[in-house]
Parts: sequence; structure tokens; C-alpha cells
Amino acid sequence: MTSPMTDVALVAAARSGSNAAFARLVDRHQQAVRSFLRRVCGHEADADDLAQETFFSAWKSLGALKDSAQLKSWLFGIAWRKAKGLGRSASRARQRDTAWSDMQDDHDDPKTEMNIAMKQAMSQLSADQRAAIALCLAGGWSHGDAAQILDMPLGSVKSHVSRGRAKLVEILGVDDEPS
Amino acid sequence: MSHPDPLQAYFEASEAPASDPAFRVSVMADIARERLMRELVKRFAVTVVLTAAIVLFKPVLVILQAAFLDIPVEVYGALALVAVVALAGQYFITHTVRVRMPRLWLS
Repeated sequence: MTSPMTDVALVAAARSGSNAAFARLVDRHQQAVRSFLRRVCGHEADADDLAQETFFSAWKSLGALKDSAQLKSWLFGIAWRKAKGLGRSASRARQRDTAWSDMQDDHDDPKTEMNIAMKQAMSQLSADQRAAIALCLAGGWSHGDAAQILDMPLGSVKSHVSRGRAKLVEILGVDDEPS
Repeated sequence: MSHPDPLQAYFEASEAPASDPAFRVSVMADIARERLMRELVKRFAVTVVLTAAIVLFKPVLVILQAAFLDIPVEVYGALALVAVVALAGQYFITHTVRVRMPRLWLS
């Protein structure tokens, strides 16, 4: 059995022109990047468009990546900058569509209900809070890594996570007491 | 023992699909389009340079053309014969015939 290629090996192959290697990198990281952007943007179609742009930008500037082992955090950094650049106007235009499409979803499915509830709760947080929550609580990144990805001081990330989490717990009405 | 985060189930519900071939195809299509555009730009640039060179060196090329026309037909015949012998020799040694044409490596 062959061991899976590391990101470093795939980046090296992609740099020398291998499409297959870059496609494997996309496969490997698409779920994490798309999930992050969905939580930050709140609109799945916008988020997936941004994720596509993120990977495309990454391919174009692959030569600028200094440490290939840090590929994942580098991708998240690109994704975050793209999400910040997404205009408010586009988001507003999408809000009506989102509300409408949410009404069309199958509300009997508990997972769908939880997804919608989470989207609505996240939309009440600031963009920085959403990003910090998406990385540290949902994505499992450390506060230090998140600070590097979001280009924020460590203290700000910790504060965004703590306040954002408290607000989510309050909005979603979940029991946060240890049993 | 730490209790599970009550928000975890909500985060899992908002997770993107683990595998999405359509997404990969969209990204790779963007890359293929970009590669094509870059290739077209390079080839266009080479065409412009070659055209400019031909126009610039036209007087020299006219002289060369006249010189080639002065060469007797037998010389061309001899060159063709040498080429056939060379290809036959290549086939005799390698059992294949491969003619390598000059190629412009642009990337």
C-alpha cells in the first residue's frame, strides 16, 4: 500500500506543473475551506464561489508560498482576505434569497434545522467574531494559529471567541452548564 | 472529564461535504482557462516578434532566397538521399523512426 503524498510533496509537484497534484490538494482541503467560508459568509453559494477563487488564487501564487507545510493556514489566510473583500451590497442582495431558500429547505430534517439556526445565530455576530469562532471552535485551530491566519492580535482572537461563543449559546438557547 | 461542547452538533450540521468532485472540476476548469490564456498570450507575442523579424530582415532573406534558387537541383536530391539513408540507419539501430522537429519551449 502506498502512503498518501504529503502537502509538501503535492505542492512541489503542482509547482512543477502537475494538475493532478493540485487537484489532490483541492480535494484534501476543500471541505475545511468551504466550511470556514460558509460560516463566515452565511451564504453557501457566495462561500463556494469564494472558495473557488481562493484555490484559484492559491494556484496562481503557489510560488509565493514560503513554507509548503503551512499550506492549510496559507489557504485559510487567502480565504479570509477574500471573505473580507466580499462587498456588503452583495451580501445584502443575497439575504432575501437566503431567507427564501431557507423557507424551501426541508425543516423536518434536524440537521437542516440546526444548520439554519446556526446560520441565523452567526449572522448576528461581527465578521471578526464569526471568523474566530469558525476557526477555533468549529475548525479546531489554536488561538495562535487563528491570530496568524486572521492577521489579528492574539488577545483580539481570544476575545472574539469568548464573546462570540457566549452570544451563540444565548441565541441558540443551548445548555452550556457541565452535566 | 470535560463535557462536550453543546455547539459542536451545530457546527457539524453546517459542515461542507467531505468530497465534492463538482467543486474540484470547477477549480481545475478555472486553472485550465488561465493556462490557455497564458499560452495564447505567449504564442501571440512570439508571432509578433517573428513577424517583426521577418519584416526587419527582409532584404537579407531576399538575398538568401536568390542564393538558394541558384543551387542546382542535384544538390537538393543529394540532401534528400542523405536524409533517407539517415532515417534508414536509425530504423536499423532502434527499430523506430523518430524525426525531432525544433520546438519552441515557452514555459
